Amino acid sequence: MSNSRIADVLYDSETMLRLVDSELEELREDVHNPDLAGNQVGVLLSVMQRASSEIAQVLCTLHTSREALEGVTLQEIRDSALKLTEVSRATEVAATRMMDGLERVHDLVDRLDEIGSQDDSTDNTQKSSEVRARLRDELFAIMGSLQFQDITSQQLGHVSQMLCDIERRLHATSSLLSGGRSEAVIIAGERLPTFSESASTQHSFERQATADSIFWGGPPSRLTQ
Amino acid sequence: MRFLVVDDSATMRRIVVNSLQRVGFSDVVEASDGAEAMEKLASVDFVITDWNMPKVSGAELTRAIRSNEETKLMPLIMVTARSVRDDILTAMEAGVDSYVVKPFTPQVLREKIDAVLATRAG
Repeated sequence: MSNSRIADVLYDSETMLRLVDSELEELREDVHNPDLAGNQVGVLLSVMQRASSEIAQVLCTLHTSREALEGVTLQEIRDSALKLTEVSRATEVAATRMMDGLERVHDLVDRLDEIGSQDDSTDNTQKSSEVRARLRDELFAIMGSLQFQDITSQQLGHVSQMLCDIERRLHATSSLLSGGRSEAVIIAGERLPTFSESASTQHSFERQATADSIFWGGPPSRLTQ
Repeated sequence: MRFLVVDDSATMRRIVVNSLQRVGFSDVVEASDGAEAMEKLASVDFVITDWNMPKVSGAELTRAIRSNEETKLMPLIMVTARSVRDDILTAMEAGVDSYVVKPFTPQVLREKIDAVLATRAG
């Protein structure tokens, strides 16, 4: 049920309850006149029956809305938690790779020192050239690991978007139940999403293979098999 | 051959630029979004663009390039974290020549560049 429909039902029910209250007030005033009081009781019963029906409808609506709100919100909170876990794992994996790479870089620098302390034979020149090439590879691999920053940034953007959605939904519900008097403030403004919901540091080979199969009608990339 | 690298993440731009240099392409200019890229198109031969960017996205940039008579044949590769099938199909329909999923290696990027250039030459 839409928010406007819920608001209409709440408004009707409030009107109905005011009418019941008014009838009770009149009944109280006419209690010493049995004829008038009897007439008022009949009217009151009719109004109370309608009020009862309205209240039942409101309760049903609130029940349905609560279930829908709970379902969507809980799912979004679960998704957010999963994304945050993946971010945590991605940063740990990247940090470990960089640390491993740096340790190998240290070993290679030590190796270069060792070769440098020996004579300038052709063999040593060749060895130092190979070590420098491996050193460049290691340094570039460390740079490549920094891609996790862009991907986790997108994952956090997705979580942020989900939390904003939850906030908006709770604000709308709060506003509805308080007759539009809610003082909750939406802290996050609208912004163009610059993240991908599917951003991930995991299974990059498989995801690249999927793209290749779509673009090239098969897996042409020997590097992604 | 001059490349244009378009990405709103400064870190990713540096990684793509360094990857290009690593595989032999050192003439590279950069743009931080699609709008800035449009201004630099005239001076480049190959575009490598991210998808999710403010102002003008990579997909919108691709459509703009393909709809312009002067740039419609520009080789273009999308390098992005988006990897669901529908996204890849959308990129293909927009006119992307090839697609690289982040995180990537310089070798994969080189392979896609070579494949696109070979297709254009053929």
